[in-house]
Amino acid sequence: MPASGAKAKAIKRCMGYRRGIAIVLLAVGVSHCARAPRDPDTLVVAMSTFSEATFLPWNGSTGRKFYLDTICEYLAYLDPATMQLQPGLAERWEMSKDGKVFTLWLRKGIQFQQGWGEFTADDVKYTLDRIRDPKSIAGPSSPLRKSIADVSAPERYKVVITLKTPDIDFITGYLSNGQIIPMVSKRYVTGKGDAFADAQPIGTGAYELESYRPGVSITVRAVKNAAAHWRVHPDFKRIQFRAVPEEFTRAAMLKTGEADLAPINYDSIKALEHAGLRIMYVRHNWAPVIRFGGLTTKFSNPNVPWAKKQVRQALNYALDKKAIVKSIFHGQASIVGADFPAPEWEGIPPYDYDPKRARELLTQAGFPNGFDLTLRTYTTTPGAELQIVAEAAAAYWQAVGVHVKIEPTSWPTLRGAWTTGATTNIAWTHRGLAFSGTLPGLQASVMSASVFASYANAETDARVQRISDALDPNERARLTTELGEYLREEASAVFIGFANEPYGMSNRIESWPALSQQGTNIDRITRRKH
Amino acid sequence: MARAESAGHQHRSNHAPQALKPALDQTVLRYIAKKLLEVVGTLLAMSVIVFLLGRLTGDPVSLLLSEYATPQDRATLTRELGLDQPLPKQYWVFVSHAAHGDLGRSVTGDRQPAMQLIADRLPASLKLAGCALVLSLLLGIPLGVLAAVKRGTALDTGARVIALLGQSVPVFWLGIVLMYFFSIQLGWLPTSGYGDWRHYVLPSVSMALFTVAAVTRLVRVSMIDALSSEYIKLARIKGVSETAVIWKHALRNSLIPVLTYMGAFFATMITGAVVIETVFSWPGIGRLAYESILSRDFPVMQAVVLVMTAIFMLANFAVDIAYAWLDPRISR
Repeated sequence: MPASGAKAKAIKRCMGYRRGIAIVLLAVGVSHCARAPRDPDTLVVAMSTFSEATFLPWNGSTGRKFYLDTICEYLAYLDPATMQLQPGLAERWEMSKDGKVFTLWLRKGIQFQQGWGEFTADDVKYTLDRIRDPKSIAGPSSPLRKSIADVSAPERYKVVITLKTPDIDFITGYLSNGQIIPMVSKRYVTGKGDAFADAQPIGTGAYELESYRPGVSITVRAVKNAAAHWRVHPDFKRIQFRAVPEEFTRAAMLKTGEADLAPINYDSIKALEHAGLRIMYVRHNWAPVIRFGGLTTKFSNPNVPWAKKQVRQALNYALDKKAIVKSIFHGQASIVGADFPAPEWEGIPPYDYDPKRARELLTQAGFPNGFDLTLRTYTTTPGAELQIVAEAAAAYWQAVGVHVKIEPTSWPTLRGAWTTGATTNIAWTHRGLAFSGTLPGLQASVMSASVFASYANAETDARVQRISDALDPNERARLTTELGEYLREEASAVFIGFANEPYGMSNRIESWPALSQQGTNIDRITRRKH
Repeated sequence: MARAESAGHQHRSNHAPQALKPALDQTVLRYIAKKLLEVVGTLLAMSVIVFLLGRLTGDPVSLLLSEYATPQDRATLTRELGLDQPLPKQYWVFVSHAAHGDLGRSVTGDRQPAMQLIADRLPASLKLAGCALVLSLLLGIPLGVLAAVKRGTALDTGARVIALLGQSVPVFWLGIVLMYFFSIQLGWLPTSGYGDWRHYVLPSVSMALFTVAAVTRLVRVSMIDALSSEYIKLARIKGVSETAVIWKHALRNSLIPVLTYMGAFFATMITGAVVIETVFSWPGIGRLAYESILSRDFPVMQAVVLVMTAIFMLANFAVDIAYAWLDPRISR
């Protein structure tokens, strides 16, 4: 019995060792086989969302530029270094003296993918007509419906666009890759129908759609003879876009090498740099700003304290912009007295941090003991920092006697309230995104006709009209700067600055010549040579 | 010994013949009809709630409009989407179409039918929930049995702590912690995405932990009850081995509540996967719900909620029927 007991113990011990060894082997096996090998020729871009995940330009918003711009191309391109217009599918263009007629000559011999023929003037007319169609919900559809009088294709490679009012920056503002009007094939869309063309889009780009897995990935592959493409010489055979809504997950993908490029929050910068990754900043991509309700002609509220200019100025003086930029944006923002990134406004000085002056102004305005203010805030991408900005503003304003009640909300809810006049008695944090041209930005933000204006009156309408009418670029720039200074003096919002949006970048990427607009030039990302 | 084993079987089979008979009688049929009516009533109530709540928190027009939009653009789009109609009319259109299986079309992108979008995403959710459910049973049952058998010991305390943690730890936090260790630190598993077996591990484990806790607690309580019952005492007196007593006789009867809850667990996993599917970029119905809420895509939002409600209700219905079958007193 004792002998058999000892034997049993020995067997048990042996079994225990075996189990231990098996577990270790399993763990080692898992660690080796679970890490899926990465295709070295595929660039992986983790995006927060695919937006509408539709491939026809007139069906959705600018959030689709990341993937759409790799398949389709534009009539003109902006040089990322100089922001000057470069020829695109249009090799040259002319503007009439009155700034109303644009004649474009198209590049010859550009072929649509999959043998759908040559790109011609008919395709330009068709694309612009579809964008202007009342059913189109594309970003620029609304202003183009108002501004374009006619589009004609008198010759195979010649397009004439006639505007109702002059706009010397029309090509930059609407037809360049700063916008989202890429050219589609008329023959393909009309022949196959919208649904088919949307599911299997084609363009003239160096990449074509390989697969779309709803909610998972969009993969594009370099076309045959991509090396001979007129504009792009792809460094990667494939680009895979993945929808990754959670920022922590995107940062984790960068760390594990599952993604090469992803938008991140400012708070993730240090951790990613520590992990040996690089951070690329898309310069002046958006502007954190606090807007006031009730300051437009359409949705006016003279009873709120900030209806008085001194109060708005006081709230600007009360904010320590330098501290906010340093602590929340990790120094990645230029402090400017303007509410959306525009080249003409980069030199507009911010309000100094002067709480004493703020209190004086509040007293002058009749609020020596301050007042109550409701501040709504939300997070978005870019703009995950808006809630912290709201909390910082509340603390600074509290110091000058303004009692802030912060109400967290969502962007959709706020957007609905804003555009229907339900925000006339509150203020809210907002992100002013960069526009492809300053004039479209002004038409959206300070014109009475826009539902997204937060400061608009007869004066701003007249000033924007003067800018629109100006045929000399220098004169237009001067008037734009003057309008910026006027808005700054009026304290049309609480200004902080122009932020640089951070992207985590793997060491496989050499460069990304991005514009300030979201999602541009992904097809021009170059690969680091080892 | 054989006689003792048959004691357990006898106990189990005591209900079955009695349950089969009333299953066919009027009482049970009335019970099923009543439950079906409850399902329809709940679906109708849910349709009203989701219809109204969606509209209280914004509208898709504001999101679809570009930054350059004018009031005219807003009016045109509102009319095109049918949102200019009075709410009762909008609701009637929605319900009458839904009765014919048409839950509308997405208001975004290329405006696909809502049911098509759900059909695209549902398999991913079903697969994930299936994995999580299997994992829950594989872990929860042995843990529950051990906790009951070793009642009052450190093992029992450990199992109860696991159960408590599993039911109190936020799933998004757990998901992030697992991702940190197994993807970033160890590099064993992918962080996210939808693909081969590797992609299932972290979201399944994150999702399963809550249910592991529930199964553990259920099994523990049932096992404690079973182990103190007369037929188990009899089996022990008859000399049946302790292993057979625990894993054969006691466990079989203890699994009945777990089996009846399985449907509800599965439905909870499908319908409650919004957070897990977002953290792990899983293209399931939960993330579709999240995306449709963010974009105020009313038709998709309504369709997803109704389908989720239907799944949940049908699972509960199945549980009720199972209960009625197992214990005829319930249907009386």
